[in-house]
Amino acid sequence: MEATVAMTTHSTRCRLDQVTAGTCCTVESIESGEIAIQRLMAMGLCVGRQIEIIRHGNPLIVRLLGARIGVSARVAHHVIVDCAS
Amino acid sequence: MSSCCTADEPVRTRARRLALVGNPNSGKTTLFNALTGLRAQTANYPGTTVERRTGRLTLAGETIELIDLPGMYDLHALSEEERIAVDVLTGHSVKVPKPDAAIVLADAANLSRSLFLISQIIESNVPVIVALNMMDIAEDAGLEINTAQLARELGCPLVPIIARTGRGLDELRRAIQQIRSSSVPAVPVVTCTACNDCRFKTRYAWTDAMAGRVTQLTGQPRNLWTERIDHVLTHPVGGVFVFFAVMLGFFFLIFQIARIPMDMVDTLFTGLGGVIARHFPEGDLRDLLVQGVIGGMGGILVFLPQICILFFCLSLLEDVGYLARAAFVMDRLMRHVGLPGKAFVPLLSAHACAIPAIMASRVIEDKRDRLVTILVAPLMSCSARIPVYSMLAALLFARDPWRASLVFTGAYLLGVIAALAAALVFKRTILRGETRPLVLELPAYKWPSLRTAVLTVVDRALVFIKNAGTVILFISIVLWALATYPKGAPPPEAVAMQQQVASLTGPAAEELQTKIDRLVRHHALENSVAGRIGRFVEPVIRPLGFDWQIGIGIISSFAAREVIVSTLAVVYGVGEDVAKENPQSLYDSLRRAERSDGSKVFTTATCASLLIYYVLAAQCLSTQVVTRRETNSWKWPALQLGYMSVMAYVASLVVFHVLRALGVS
Repeated sequence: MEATVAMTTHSTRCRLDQVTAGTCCTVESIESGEIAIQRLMAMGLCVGRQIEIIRHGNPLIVRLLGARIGVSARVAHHVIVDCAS
Repeated sequence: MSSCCTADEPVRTRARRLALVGNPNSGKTTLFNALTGLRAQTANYPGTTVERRTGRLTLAGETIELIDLPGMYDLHALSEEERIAVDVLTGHSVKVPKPDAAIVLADAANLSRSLFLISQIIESNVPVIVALNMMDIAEDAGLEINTAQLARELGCPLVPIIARTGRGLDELRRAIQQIRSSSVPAVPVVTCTACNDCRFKTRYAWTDAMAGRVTQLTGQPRNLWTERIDHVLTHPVGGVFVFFAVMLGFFFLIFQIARIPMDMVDTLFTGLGGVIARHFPEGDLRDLLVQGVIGGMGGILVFLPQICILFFCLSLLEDVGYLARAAFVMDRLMRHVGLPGKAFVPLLSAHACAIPAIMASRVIEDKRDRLVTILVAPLMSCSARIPVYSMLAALLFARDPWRASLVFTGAYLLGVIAALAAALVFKRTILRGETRPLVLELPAYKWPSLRTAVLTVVDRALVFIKNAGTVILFISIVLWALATYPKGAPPPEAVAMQQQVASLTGPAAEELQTKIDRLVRHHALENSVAGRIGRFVEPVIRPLGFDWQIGIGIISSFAAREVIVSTLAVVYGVGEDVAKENPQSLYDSLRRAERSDGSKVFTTATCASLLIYYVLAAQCLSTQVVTRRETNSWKWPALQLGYMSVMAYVASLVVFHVLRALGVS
């Protein structure tokens, strides 16, 4: 349910597919609509996890638990992150 | 509590079974090969197309069976492969008995994630040995792991290893010897009661904490090499550029280097045929051996060098870590036709031969995506089509090499476009479903293992030879029989000429004898079952501009496409030997060939129609056999044959009539 995520101008929250390369962020919530996201979660993606975006685009590359993982933007779209840190 | 004691056979009377489990890219194949060597066997899990590799290792006189389970991240499986691994591990598989113990391969450089799987396996009541692999990479990354503490906390034997160099393997073998079915570790079970999401969260909280307790960061944590290389190789533009450069090199090897061993195979089989021809008395048995068995085997085994080189390169590229990058950069492009990035390499390999391409499509996780790839792969122009294209290009534009090369390019392009269009149609119709979105680990780059590459080649080559030696051999014998029987009396002209030979001497007699032989062979083929089928199907293929003689060529080339060239040589009375040594003379006589009404057979419209037909038709029964093997059903090869034939027929029909309407003849 995409509409439930309010994104104001002050917020540092955004969707993973919108984060620029080189940014470190924390996973805020995961919308578990996409089946493929389960694999990402099995690889260690969970709420509170620190991740880094290595390459922006579609697909994008994210560093997760020391591994580099190529992720389709469609999947990344369902991951809400906080880029404040 | 031991669960193995309930197995249907007592442990003592049979070899102990150990399963090898781990994340993808954890070095499972390397460890498996290091432990079992050449004694591995590959088969499918019963009723599936998932590959099952088993091997044996002997430790202090005891033989132990090792099963290599498909790589997985989680015991709650998503894909068919993972489901099978889970079923075997938990004893839910009907066909494969539960293993007595599991060796779980952990990645020292990514301990928390490895612990996620290890803890799940321990909870499923299997005795576990943890092999902590990639200790070198962890050390490079500045990680120091307290292995004694980790073993204590997990409550199971743990051996640090480097599978690639063999470090720690002796200790691992000792641990394998000592593990007993009663040694199920008493690990604190990670409980999770609520929803799906927190299943991951709870367990990862546990693994993160444990990994944190046993790991110390002592240096720079990053593998800068991988980072730097990836900056180029995963670039949306640069990455695609590098990818095509790599593929160009790959194809150079397949087409140029393979030529030498291919010639050797060809010479070997020709020589073998010659030896048999000399030592056997003239007759059906000799013909069967020379033309059916040796000719048929030679015609298909000539592709073995290409297949070996292809799998050797693929194995190296995968081992280095490049194939994951290739899938990554091609993902965006392939998505437009509804296929994942991983489908690209198999489809490209199909330009060498559809058989290894179909075998290589196993890397595609989603079953539907894989089926689509298998169905469309034979549309790519394989090397068996090259002799056919050469012949038709020469017939179309004899004096114009530029236009002839355009014919080649056009034929290749048509194959690619048809394959992508067919993929799109399949994904929208019978194999409807969203393409599995990419979630793919890009492993750290490393030196490839030659041993793994060689073992892969041996394995794939054996599968191919087994096919060639059974089903494909059978097909070529049947096709030989169709082209040979029933035998009739030689034509009256030949009998008359034979009488003349007696009165001649020297080169004149030889020349006449050759002419007689050709006449006899031409006559025999015309009266054979294949010839009759050719006449029988003529009404069907006539709208495409083909006559019954081309029909014979099409039927005979079901063994292998290039056979049409030698068949046409016989049908049009040139002689196979001449066609091989001097193709121009074949082309010339084909160009001169006339129908009974005096009109030319190989008009521009007929040649173009035949070219389109050979680009699109499923003119290779070996491919169907492999498709059957890889899809575990006759339904898919039947569909493949059906849709390709219909497409080829319609396209040729349109081309022939459009060209005729335009006055091109």
